[in-house]
Amino acid sequence: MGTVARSSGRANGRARPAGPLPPAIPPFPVRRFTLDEYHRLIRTGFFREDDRVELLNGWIVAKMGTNPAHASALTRTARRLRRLLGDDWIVREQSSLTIPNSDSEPEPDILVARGPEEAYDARHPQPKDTVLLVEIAESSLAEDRGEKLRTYAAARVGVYWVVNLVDRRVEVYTRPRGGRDPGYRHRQDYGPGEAVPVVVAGRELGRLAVEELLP
Amino acid sequence: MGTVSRSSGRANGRARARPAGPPPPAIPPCPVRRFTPDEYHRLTEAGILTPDDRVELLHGWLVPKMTLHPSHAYVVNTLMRALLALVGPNRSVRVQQPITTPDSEPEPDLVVASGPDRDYKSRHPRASECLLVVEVAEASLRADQTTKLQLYAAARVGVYWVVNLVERRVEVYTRPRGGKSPGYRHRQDYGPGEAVPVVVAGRELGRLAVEELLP
Repeated sequence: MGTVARSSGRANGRARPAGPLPPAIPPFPVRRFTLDEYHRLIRTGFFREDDRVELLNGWIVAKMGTNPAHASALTRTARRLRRLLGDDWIVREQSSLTIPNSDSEPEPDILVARGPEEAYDARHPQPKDTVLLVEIAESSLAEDRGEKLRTYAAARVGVYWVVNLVDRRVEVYTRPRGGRDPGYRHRQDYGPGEAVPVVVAGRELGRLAVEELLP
Repeated sequence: MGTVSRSSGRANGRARARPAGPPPPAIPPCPVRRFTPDEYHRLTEAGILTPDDRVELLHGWLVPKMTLHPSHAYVVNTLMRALLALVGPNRSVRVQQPITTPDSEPEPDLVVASGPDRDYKSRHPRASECLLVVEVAEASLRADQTTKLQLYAAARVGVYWVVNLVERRVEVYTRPRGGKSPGYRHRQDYGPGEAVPVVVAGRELGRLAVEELLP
């Protein structure tokens, strides 16, 4: 494969790699992107379908492939949220959250937004539409509790769940705080044998047993 | 200030005070997607990277370039004159122009490429065609002696000079070695009072007095 170099190609017989090098943390500062630039890349088909990325604080971050446990926890959680919330709330899986006036467009594992669903035919939900975000965390745990958490708190998303597959619990973060060091003022963990309250726009609509969410 | 945004803004003209550009370059907290040289060109064609960006592609990352000090510019010019006189019309002498490797497109201060200028009308020289690469190093010294050195060695640039303005010497690296830990097998330094041989494709074309190169 790749034997035909683009021209004579002397000495160094290295085949040109088909795609970019794997994602990595660079040893030096790199240029970031605006939300607008990111949207232009998407519109012009810059990213292929299997090129799953999101924009976090101006960095184009590659999304990790999911393993069976991640996929199962995601399906379990989304299904139970839909069952509980009914048609009034839109439960979306791995689709974009546009954060205006920021340099981020993450793709949370689960996003619960205010209906009706036509509201999102021409634009992605924004934090003002969003009542709950969920990340299923295994290898991404540090990031979900770090950069993601800060991004969601800064955008004032009211409730953020980390379904933590490593420690087998659901971490519920509430009372977002913005500013220089964004975060959530309150965290409560729920383990097996407990049930997580689903609080939407300030009202508890039910509870989900943690055991049913964890694979 | 900064009232004029970098483009006409979004289609519906909603007055949003976005800062003019992306957030400043920084080291990301998580792995970021990298770009191939082809994708890098497409970023320019799409108008996302503009001449104002002053970046180069290093191992797939978009890395900002340092602003040039007068002493740096002076040395580049002096060397350019000297190399043009020695090298003749059959090889291209290039100043702060890109060269291409499989994963990078750095812009060295000076390059002597194997072909004449007309060979590079529609593409940049490949690193393997670069007979001599020169970086003039002051603030960039560390990077030029490490990141750039490894990159040029891995791409089999035969002769690499670091004109070290900090220690006032010319470091001549030869006999590139690729593999996991690329580098040059041989280094020889030339200080004031000495003359650096200009060796291009194995032939010594002349010598340059170090004192005359340094500011």
